[in-house]
Amino acid sequence: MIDTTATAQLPMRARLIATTVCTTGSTTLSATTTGYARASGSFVTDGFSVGMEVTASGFSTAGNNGTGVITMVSALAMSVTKTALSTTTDGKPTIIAGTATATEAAAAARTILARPPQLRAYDNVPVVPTVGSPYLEEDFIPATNTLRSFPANGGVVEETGLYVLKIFGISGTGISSIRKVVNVIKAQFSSGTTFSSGVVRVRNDPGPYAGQITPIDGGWSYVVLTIPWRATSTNAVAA
Amino acid sequence: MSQLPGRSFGEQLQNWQRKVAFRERAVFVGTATEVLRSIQEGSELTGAPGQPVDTGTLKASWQLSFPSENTAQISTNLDYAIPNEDGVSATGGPYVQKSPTGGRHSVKLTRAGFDKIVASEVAKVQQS
Repeated sequence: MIDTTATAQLPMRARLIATTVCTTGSTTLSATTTGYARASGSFVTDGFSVGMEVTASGFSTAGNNGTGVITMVSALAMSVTKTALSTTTDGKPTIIAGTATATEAAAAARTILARPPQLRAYDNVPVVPTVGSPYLEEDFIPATNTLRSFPANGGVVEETGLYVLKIFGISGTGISSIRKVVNVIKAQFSSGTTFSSGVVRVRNDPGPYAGQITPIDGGWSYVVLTIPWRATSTNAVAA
Repeated sequence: MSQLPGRSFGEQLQNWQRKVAFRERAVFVGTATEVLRSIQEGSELTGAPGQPVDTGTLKASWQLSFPSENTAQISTNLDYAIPNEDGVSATGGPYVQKSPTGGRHSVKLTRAGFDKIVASEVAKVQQS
């Protein structure tokens, strides 16, 4: 059997972290006292929507870089509430207010992109969510093993399990933001996707699936994304 | 099928049809029952932990019914079954499981392990 942490969970987590939900690409942008602006192109066409967490880079004024949550978006303007990743007094990751944007003239080579939320409760890592800022929880669930061929020693053993992500968005922001984030992540784990040189494979029986948007107290609505996987290896019987 | 003395080919064919229908029904009912067990109690076939138990209300709320001859339905009428399944606190804070038995994601694990349930029920019928 395999070390499913090293061959399944951590590679899946790495793929999640590297996912880009949407981006302006490197382009000409300016900063305002409420967020960002552009003279051409469209934030809406690029895929940005209210409630999405974005990260800006390439600005000369330090406070204009960094992460924030979109509160308004149109083709040429985006308002954000800046945030920053921090820790509580007892060491738990949390989100605090970031440095507000300031006016900065347009210049090239700037980028705004959206990724999965920066506040992530990985397995056995509690976080303290902050109202108004999306976050994500990870559950890695090994299930059962089956010996698929003989003999027992040296035969093929199949292990199965689930990689479950819970994406918490801001209640009342509609479907665009949270669904887009979920759908882009889901596309990164399509049926047949392999990890660890093919040892682990995303199943198609069933394939990955996302649930409905479920509102809960505290200003959150969440969606569960379930990614079934299987891993095959050579069975070794201890002497 | 070999020719049995005193039985026509037609009679043997009818007997075989009855046996197939019986086995098919047994697999269907057995699968539905095992799906309920996996969600409710947990299962070594699927790895589902079953429902957490405090008062027992959630566990007992899962019911199996047969709306039609070829349809089985496993359901619960409790709103908090969903956040319990997902491991989400309905109040928005961190989820804390108080029960030492059962756990989360039993429905998801049962769905993912459905093929193993069916294979197990088929094997039982073949051995009978």
